Amino acid sequence: MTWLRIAWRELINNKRFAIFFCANFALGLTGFVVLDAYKNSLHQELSNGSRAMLSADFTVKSSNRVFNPLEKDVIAKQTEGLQKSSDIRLFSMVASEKQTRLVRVIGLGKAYPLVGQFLLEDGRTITGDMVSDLETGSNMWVYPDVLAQLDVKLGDTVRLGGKDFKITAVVTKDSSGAGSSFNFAPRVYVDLDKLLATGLVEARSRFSVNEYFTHPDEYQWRSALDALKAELSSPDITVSSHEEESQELARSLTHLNDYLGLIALVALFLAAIGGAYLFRSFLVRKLEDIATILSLGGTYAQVRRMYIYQLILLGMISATFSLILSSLALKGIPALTQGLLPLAVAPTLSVKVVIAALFVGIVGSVLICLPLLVFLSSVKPGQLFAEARQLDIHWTLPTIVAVLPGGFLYWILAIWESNSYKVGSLFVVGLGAFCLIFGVISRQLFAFGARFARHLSMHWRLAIRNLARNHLSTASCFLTISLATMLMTIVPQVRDVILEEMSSPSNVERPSLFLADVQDDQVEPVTAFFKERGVEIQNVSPMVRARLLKLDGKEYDKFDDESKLTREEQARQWARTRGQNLTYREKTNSAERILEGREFSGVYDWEKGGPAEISIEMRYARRLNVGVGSVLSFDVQGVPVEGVIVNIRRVRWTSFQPNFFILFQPGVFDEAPKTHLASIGSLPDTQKNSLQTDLVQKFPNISIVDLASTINTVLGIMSKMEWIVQVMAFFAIFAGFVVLFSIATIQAHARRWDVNLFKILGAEFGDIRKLVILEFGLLGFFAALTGVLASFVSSWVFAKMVFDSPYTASLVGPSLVLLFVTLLTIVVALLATGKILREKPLEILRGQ
Amino acid sequence: MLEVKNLEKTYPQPGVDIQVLRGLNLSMQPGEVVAIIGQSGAGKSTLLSMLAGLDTPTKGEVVIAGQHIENMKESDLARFRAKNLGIVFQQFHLISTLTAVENVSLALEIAGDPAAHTQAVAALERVGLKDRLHHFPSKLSGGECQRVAIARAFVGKPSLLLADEPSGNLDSATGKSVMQILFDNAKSQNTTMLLVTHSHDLAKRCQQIFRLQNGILVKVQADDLA
Repeated sequence: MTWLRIAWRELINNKRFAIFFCANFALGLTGFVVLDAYKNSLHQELSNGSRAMLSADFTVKSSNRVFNPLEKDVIAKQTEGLQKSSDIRLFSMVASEKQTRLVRVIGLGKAYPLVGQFLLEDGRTITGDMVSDLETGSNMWVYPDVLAQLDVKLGDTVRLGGKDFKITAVVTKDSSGAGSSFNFAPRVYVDLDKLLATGLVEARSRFSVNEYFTHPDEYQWRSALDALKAELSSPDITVSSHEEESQELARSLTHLNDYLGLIALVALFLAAIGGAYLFRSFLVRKLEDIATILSLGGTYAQVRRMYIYQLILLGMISATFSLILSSLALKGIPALTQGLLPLAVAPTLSVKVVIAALFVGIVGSVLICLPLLVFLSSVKPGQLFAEARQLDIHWTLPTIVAVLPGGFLYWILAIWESNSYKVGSLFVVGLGAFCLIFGVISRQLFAFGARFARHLSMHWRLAIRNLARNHLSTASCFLTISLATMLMTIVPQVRDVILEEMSSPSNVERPSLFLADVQDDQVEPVTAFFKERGVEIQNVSPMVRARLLKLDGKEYDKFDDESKLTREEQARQWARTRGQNLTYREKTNSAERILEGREFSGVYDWEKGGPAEISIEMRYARRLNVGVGSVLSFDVQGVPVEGVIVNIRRVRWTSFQPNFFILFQPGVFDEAPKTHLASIGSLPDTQKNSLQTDLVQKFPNISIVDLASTINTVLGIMSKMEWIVQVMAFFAIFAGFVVLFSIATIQAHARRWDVNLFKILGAEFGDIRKLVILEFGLLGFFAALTGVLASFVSSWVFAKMVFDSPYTASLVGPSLVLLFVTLLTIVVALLATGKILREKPLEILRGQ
Repeated sequence: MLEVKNLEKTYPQPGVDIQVLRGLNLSMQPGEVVAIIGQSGAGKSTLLSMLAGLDTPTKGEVVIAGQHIENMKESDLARFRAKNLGIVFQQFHLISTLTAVENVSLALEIAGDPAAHTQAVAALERVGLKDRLHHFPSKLSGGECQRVAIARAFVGKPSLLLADEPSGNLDSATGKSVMQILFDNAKSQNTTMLLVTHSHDLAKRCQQIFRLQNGILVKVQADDLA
């Protein structure tokens, strides 16, 4: 109790330290807590709303084919006694008299939805037990966007797959969730039998047939689910519960959360720098007290215990503050994420989040200060007898080793936040490398400046020498400002790189329309159709559906529960279990570049036999863990086909040409059932619209993607995500400037005597203020400049690695950031030091 | 009470080792008060650090109350200090965040004394600070701070009290009064006291006087001091 009491008393009597430490750490923790609370609430909401989102307890989905009779029998047997419904989903064109648009068509079976309901604009609520007007006629319900896009109104007729449908209702809410921005095409609903009658399903390369099941007795439906999972082993068939499906729905947001988590960790890192600096300053002032306690018979362990108590108390207070701040910040989350999810999430602080915040707050506080606590063993109480004492903290090997547990915790947090060993480790290594580089720059820059400072005026000389000689505080501030500036400038720069690439990828001509589901026998008439209109059809690419059976003769590993996998494992699982779209071509196109291996040798020689030649996209190869020479075995609609990889290629996906992960040499699939993709070059808007309308009238089964509107949708989502990332980045920057304020205040107090000595020697208030402005102005400018340059380098690497495109740095934004950060640093420093600067020397002499 | 035999202390420095104590010997009887004088840099602080167990000798023995402390483990030394030693520093070294009574009781609490507070109050009363019990060091004068330090040094009834220039930071009148308190306490508790001082007047009040020069102690007669 004695040590706890002394620990508490010390904190009470060192309020400035305690407040700054808690403010730093609380802010650093807040981003982390907010995100954690959001993730938890999202998970909870998805669990709670997942039945309604699936419209059932579980589903059996067949991708791109209907269930075969054997599968139908198995499903019927295992789901006996359960309530059932079904639907078919596909993309298709729908045409009005004036417009043609790509829509997502949902053909609703009887009793759909088993759980949840539709809310219609006319006030009706439709549940599964009601007979809707979709069943009674050739009617269609549409989402509000469809009316605007097709320029139609309720009661008008539209054409789908060669059949006319009357729009009888506007859906305002579908509990299965259509409100997400991730829907590239608005939904329309028709009756399942009437959709089948259009013939669209047979003519589609991509569609899904879904069977839905529910039962009040959970045990019964779960037993059926398990049995179906065991019996239906085809990779085209997915059996999943409502919980599993809901996780899939939130996939894109969980990936965004991963990266937001890393930005939150930057804020935590900045807070850790500030916290460690503050604790060090506090401890230096306490070294005499520590030596005194030791001389009274106290042990190093007791002293260390006392400071651990203090850090635990500070960690608890910081975590509590961060929880209060987080609960306020969470109120803004629904507005930020609106439209990104099919359900509204109102995040709250759960017990789990509170425990996590307290854990990180307490353990984090102790671990970031651990090197300083280890240093305490170096305090020699015998120095109390010395006439000239110099008690200070120096880095020794044990103190450096003591950094490791904190680093380890941070690494674990990075892996946890990113759900990836690779991304988490890269993040920690990258951050460590930046810190090292920034630290070296800070040290060398001001040491170099100090060498030449003697030729400068007094104010400049003193400012530069202060920066060079107080290298620990200079390095801490430099690191904080440069990291924060880098974060501030890198987000818009990466956005610029993506925008540049999306709007005009270098060396690649962007098509304006993309055609899908062109049947084998339609290739010639469709080509002729465009030729008649003076438009060239490009990149006609056959697409053959297949599934991957073996890699180098071995069946690929199967994972169980996806929620337990890291992001890399999920990507690997996705690459291995998805159905494959294969194509064949003689050589690479303008959006592709061979990285390793050779071009195809020509047309496949059936007489010679052996595996066919394959080209594989580089990231896909990485996910499958294959290289040149690996043999892949496919099941192409019942026929086994083997291929050997002869090259690995990079694909510029933003070219929006028909691109594929796996490319076969020609001659292998000539006779295989297939559909075709194609693109149409740049067209004026008016011609584009009339072409779409004419094409759909003549070939109603063909889907047309208007790339401009697709890109706009992508950019819309991206700008929303960028806004969220920016909010988190600004939060980290704010945390960084709180660190700066704390360090500047502590520095001002440490230099109190020096400042007053200046005054005694005749310096005026203006002189000292000028000194502060110069010192922190130089610090802010060079740290921000370093941050901006680092962001240029990072963006260049991003442009090269991700898009393989040239990078042009934008200078206006970063220049403004440089100016803003420099001024902000000066303002923060003046605020922090103002009270000390205004002090009269007499007051401090009297105080002494 | 105190036996120091052939005490040596060498500080290794790059190029040349600095030998501060060169086979120093000292013997003190219970209740005896000894003064050590010497020039700055003679090694007085080093000697006090060795005797307080705050530093380890290069060679030699230090025996206090029958216990060899030169090779004691760090934790045993800490316990030994808490039970057997009292130290008065020139610069007081009070914990700034603790009140006068808390500063004094801390020494007893470290030693695990359950009646620490009561004894601390009594000790402060003995040094005339009954009205300053709950004052923080920043609110006390230099003389009062040193009296708190004396109370803290004596409160555990140490076998040996080490005093390093206790009046060095005080004006003459305050210094005299503080030293009187120190001598009175040593006498009333029959405490063995080693006093390091520059003041010949103070040294003359001690039973034996030694000058620390060239790393050894040389006995000095009171009459030889100017």
